[in-house]
Amino acid sequence: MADRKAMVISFAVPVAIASFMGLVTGNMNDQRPPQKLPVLVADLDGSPVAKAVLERLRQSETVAPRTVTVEQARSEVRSGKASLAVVLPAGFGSAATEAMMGGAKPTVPLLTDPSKSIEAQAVRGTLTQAIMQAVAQSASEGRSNPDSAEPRGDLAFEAKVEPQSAPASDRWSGVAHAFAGMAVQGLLFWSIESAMTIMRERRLGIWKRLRGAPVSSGTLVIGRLVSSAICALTILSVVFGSGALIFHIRVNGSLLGFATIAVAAAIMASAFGLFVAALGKTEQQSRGLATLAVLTMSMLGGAWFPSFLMPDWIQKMSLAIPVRWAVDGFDAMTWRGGSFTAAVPSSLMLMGFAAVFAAVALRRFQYEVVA
Amino acid sequence: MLRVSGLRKVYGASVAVDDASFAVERGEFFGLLGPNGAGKTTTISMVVGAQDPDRGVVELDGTPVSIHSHDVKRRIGYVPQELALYEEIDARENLRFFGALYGLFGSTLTHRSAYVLEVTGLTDRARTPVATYSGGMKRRLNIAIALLHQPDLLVLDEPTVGVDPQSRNAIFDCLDNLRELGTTLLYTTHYMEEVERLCTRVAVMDHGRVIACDTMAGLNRLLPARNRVTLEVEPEGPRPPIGRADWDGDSLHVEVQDLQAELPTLLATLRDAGVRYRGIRSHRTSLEEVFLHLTGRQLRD
Repeated sequence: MADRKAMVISFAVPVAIASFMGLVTGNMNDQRPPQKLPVLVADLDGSPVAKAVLERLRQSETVAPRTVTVEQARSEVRSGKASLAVVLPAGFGSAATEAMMGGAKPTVPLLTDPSKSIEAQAVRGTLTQAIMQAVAQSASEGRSNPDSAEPRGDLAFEAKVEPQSAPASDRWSGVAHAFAGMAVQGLLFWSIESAMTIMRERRLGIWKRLRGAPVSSGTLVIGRLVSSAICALTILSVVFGSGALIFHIRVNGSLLGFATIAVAAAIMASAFGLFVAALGKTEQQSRGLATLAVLTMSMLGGAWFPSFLMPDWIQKMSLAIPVRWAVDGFDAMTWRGGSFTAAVPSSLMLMGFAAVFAAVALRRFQYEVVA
Repeated sequence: MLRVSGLRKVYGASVAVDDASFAVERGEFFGLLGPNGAGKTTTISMVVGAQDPDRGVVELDGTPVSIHSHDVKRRIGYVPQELALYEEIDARENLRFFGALYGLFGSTLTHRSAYVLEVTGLTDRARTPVATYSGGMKRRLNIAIALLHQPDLLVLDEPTVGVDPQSRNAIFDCLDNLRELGTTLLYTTHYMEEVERLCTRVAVMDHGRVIACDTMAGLNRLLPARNRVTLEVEPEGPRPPIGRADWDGDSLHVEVQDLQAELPTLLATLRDAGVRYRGIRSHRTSLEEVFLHLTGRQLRD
């Protein structure tokens, strides 16, 4: 009972974790309408049939279609923004209508995200229904001769599934994601230890001696930042190295991109440790609060469960959490096989978070009470 | 050499240091005496540039000392009140780390490390983790680190707290050696006996203010009397009233300024009154009594 904050955290942590689990796994009795799944449509045909397909998708209660170019479709599916994109090729409308009456079936590419197979299946079902209804409508309107052949009963098109990930894997790697998530969480727990070291130095008077030495606050902060980041990089190396050895996790994308994200994540974690040390008063209190913060960020940022499993509002909120950017970045460079360009947004955001944490820490250290 | 003028430092609603002023001459062993909470440590933190005052100035040979004045800080050695050491590593590694902060590397650092370890008597334990040291040894290493860069001014904040008498004497001997070598020392303590043994001049602090600053002799002159004489008299005998003397059972207490001149007169007066005494003792007034006279409180209240 002596440490009330620790007591509060003992209650707060289980409640927070249980609440999160409940949000992710969902409520079976939830009567609210399910949120619509995004589907991208690249219409290269422009025929009335294609337009009808799009209209039927818009009227659907399960999907939310959006018209894009083919390049956009590939990019957004590869980056995880949508689970499925359909490319209606030029001439699709007429070819599908003829196929309905026995002609050759046109090929319709379906661009899928291997990490969202369940979601993609659901979208594909609705898409197929919309296409068949539009084609059937077109076919029945075009039948002027009552003696012409009956429409075929199967699909009027051939779906060609094209997974948008690295060639080496055609399905999502849960292992790679798990290692990425736990590596990032490990970094943040290291940052707590780093913060405790600084606070212990403050308690032991070492910080006072350092402040009396001819070195600036900036030098002290940067020194801490760099040394802690080196340790954080070591953690990342060991975790991913273990993943590579045991589970054959590979950087299927850009190695330079992976390294860039790793450095940015290490610096962010190091700066977070400084931030905790600058704001904290005692080690005991700070450790508890920081642990709660790390667990919350890990949960909401996709370190435990992939962010696409979470409700839409959590996915949006998680963009304000550095864990989300780190995990997404590592995913992009491992099983998604992204290029260096795909690493840039995550790296920049992580450095941005680092800058904010370090700026707050520097300001607090400059004006802190020493005696 | 060191001039502290009108220092003021406020923490929230609490005034830790209030218009503190004193000066330390080159080669002097200067004491800053006061009870816990008097503002000594806060004053010291501003003297060494660990934090800036809200008002006032600290100057070392005319150059202001602040958190940004790195050149001046290189001339100051600071021994914090806490044992500011990395206990997981040994003395040499501690010296290497802290020496680097003052620009010491390579052979210079090696030589200086050997010297300060020798001066503080830690050469034989240089490669042992600090965690295995006794309290006295840790205190000496604390001092060694501050000596590494050959400071002109050594500032020590209660360097003997928690130290056994033997180690304390070893520290005193070390500091005496430094004084003889020409180092200027600023020493804070709440132990009267340390100031009386070591310091040539003393500033007395209380509630954030310097209430007196003088040599030991000068501070003693603040008291109405320099000597307290106590006579033990025969149990069965007269107890005549005598001047400023106080009777306490079989003891007579009297304060005199000049023993040589006043004591014979006192003894003659007692003899004429028929008082027979069995013993006589006297002691010079101490800084404790000076502090009591100045503040109305004991130093350890």
